[in-house]
Amino acid sequence: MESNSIVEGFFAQAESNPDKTAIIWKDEQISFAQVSENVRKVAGLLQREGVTEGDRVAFYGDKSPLFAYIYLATHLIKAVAVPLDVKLPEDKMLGLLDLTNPKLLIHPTNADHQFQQLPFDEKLLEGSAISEYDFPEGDQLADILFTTGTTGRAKGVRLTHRNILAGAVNSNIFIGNDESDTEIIPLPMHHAFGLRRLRTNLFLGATVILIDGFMFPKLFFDAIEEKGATGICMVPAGFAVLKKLMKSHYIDYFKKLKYIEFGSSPMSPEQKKELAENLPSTRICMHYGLTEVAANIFTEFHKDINKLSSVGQPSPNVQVSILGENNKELAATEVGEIAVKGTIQTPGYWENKELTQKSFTDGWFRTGDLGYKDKEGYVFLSGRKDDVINVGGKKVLPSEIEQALEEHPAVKDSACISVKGDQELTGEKIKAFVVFKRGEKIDSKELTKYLREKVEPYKIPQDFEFVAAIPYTSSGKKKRDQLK
Amino acid sequence: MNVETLFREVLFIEEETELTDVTGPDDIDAWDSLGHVNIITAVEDEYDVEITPEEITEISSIGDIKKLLQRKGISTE
Repeated sequence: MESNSIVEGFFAQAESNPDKTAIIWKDEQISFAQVSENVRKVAGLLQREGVTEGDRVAFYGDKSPLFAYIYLATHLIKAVAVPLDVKLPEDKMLGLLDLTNPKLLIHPTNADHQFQQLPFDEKLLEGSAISEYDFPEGDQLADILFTTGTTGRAKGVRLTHRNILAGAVNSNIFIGNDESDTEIIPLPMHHAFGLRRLRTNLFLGATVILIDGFMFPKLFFDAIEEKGATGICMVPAGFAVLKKLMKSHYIDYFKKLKYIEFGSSPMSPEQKKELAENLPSTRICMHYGLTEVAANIFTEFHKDINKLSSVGQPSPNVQVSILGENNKELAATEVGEIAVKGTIQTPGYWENKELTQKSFTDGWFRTGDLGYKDKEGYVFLSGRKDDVINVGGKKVLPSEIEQALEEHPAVKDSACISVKGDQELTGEKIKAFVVFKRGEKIDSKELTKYLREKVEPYKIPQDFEFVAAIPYTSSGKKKRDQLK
Repeated sequence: MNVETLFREVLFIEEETELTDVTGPDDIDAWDSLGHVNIITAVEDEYDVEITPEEITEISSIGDIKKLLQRKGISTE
């Protein structure tokens, strides 16, 4: 029988393969039957705490089996999961709680608030497991995922069971992973990418190995060598860390993998090419996606070796369009806003009708990203709609100036934003924030001189500020808004 | 430059934060995976040494870095 939800699919797997390992965490190997029992125990606890259908349960996004139990238990009783970033400062967490008004908070915090709370610990598993349950319908709300994206303002993305199931199925079709796989998940659990990989693998009946971040490469290599991992999901920044720490040794291990899925932030074509050459037998996939519309465009580095500057083609069961002025679909090579349609699409934002309305046009979800398609349907990103700087009527993408700046041997990182021009006529002007490499420093005159050879005169920043670091989101995107 | 000063400079750690040999990534917010890379690179530059992938896997505290440097014949005081 076909499943209507991830949780239904997971329970079908637990019934068919109870002894198979579902989660590997530290030295523990937890079978599908054990996960199923613990999910039913937490479901019983949630019910005893008064949580019913449609109630929100907010909980600590810890990368541990306990997170998976709470997440699936919430779905099992048809409540709505609100996973919280473990690094969320207290005041921001309280803001999200006020917004979602959860029936229950499961968290180690001692913060002062009015919500019913249980500590996030193993005591959650002490009660009896429920034995009678029925699964949620596809159109019921499953999750509210908070994304700050690059704008700094938290948005609660509503996702139904049908949405998250479609996200799992579509990515499995492209990547080709199945129940025989064991996947390393080093990503945060509150984030759409890490959570999708957890759901996807448990739904498929595959095994996941939960690893804490990218700092300790030995954990990865042990997972591949000793625990038989066949796949991994990563962000480019995490891979850069592993590569920097392990130099070319990573190849000896990663070449044993059947697949890698990258996502969440861009990777240079050179880096993609190097990976494709170093790992000839590994399927190296990368997605373009947003929490609102899951991973909706995919590329595989070997297949698309001549299109490595593209983010790929629409994933199975997804339509992607480029919308211009008046919301008309643009022809190939014309730059417009990337819009997405499909079962993966969010029904909108939590308690934010205005933003929901603004984000949809004729059933298309507007991503806020600018890009174009080539004649073969490959999608290329040009930048964020919100980031475009208007200099005297000329549109400038910050990423273009940043790329030029970062080619200077003294520059480590940079970010460009718009600031109000001195005169009304010039409109906006460009300000660049620059981070130098250790021991390097040059002045704005030299940078300006250098940029003159790289970009058009109107794209040269009028202001420079030299800073220690550029702020990034947890998924590796520049937070230009924070610099304004 | 001693190892603690190097940490303060690379990870922007204030003087009020105490650094000891047992201080590790769990004790300092900025010592995340990217901070780890920056630290390794800074140690290599500052003391003119190469840290091998095998040696990197042994580092999980300030004391580990000191021990590593001492093994390479470098004084860290």
